[in-house]
Amino acid sequence: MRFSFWPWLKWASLLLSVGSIVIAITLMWLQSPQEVAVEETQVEKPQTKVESPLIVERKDGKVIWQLKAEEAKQQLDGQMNLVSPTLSLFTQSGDKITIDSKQAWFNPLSRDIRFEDQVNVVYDLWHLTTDMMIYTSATDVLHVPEKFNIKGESMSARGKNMRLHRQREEIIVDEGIWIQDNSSPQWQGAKP
Amino acid sequence: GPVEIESGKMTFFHKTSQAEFIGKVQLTRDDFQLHCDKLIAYYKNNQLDHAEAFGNIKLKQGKITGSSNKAVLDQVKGKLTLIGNASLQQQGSRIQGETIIHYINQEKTIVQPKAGGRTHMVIESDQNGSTPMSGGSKK
Repeated sequence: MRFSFWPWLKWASLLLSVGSIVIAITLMWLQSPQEVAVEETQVEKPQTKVESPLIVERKDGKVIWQLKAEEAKQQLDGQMNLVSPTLSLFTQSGDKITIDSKQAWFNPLSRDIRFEDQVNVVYDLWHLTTDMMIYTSATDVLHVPEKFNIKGESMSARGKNMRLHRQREEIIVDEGIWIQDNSSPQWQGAKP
Repeated sequence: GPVEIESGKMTFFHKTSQAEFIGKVQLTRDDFQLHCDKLIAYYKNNQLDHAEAFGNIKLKQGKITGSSNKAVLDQVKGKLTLIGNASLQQQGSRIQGETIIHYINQEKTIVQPKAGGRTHMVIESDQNGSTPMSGGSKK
């Protein structure tokens, strides 16, 4: 019986490739799942960290807003996570609106800012508190989607879903407002 | 006491210090209450100076109730002017006219008819003959 070389070679190489696949799978299986997960989170770590960042936005030479923070960490998706941020936003007539919170996310491309955790807004004589606020650069609007409270010198208010249009200097509340004005003068002829 | 304003929506125009309240608007001060569809409040030095109310106006103060097409509240003088189909009722007595000026805390009411028109007043005395509508000058 003549010995044929080619079929033997074909079966040997098939055996070799199947064997190596089996070995690879076995090695991966032996490596416990936690280790694999840890590797993934390590890759998530922010790459850049900036101390006391200051970001200024101008339009036609005028400062529109100025954003500073204790620290900024750039995330993988390009956003910057700001610690103890403060935004100074200037209205058309030069009034300053100051916004601060525990943290914020700044999108360098859209220039949008999202404030979270104990958000404070000071505007004129009013102090607004809420949980979250978004500034959208394109529309130049500050949006408080949830509930808010306002304390003023002689007034207080509460409501939900407010938008502050910086250029028009208008505030729009869409889901209910309650305002108490304590400054009202005693009505003339009012009984004591 | 303080003035409270509540509504479904509001727009505040910082440049003109005006606020527009829309949707189930309710203005309250002490025992005075005004309900309407829309209210424009005018502020001076962050204080409410006066307000104009429009649409389905209903007011209530103690036993007095009233309605009109439009109303203007002068915050300083505590004067409420009801304009257009104005009427005020108190325990069965009723006054009607084109314009009624009601001084909220002085219990004084002035009724003005349309030009050449007449005012209309109904005073119903109760069992002991006394008139429920307390003092007020009528023109």
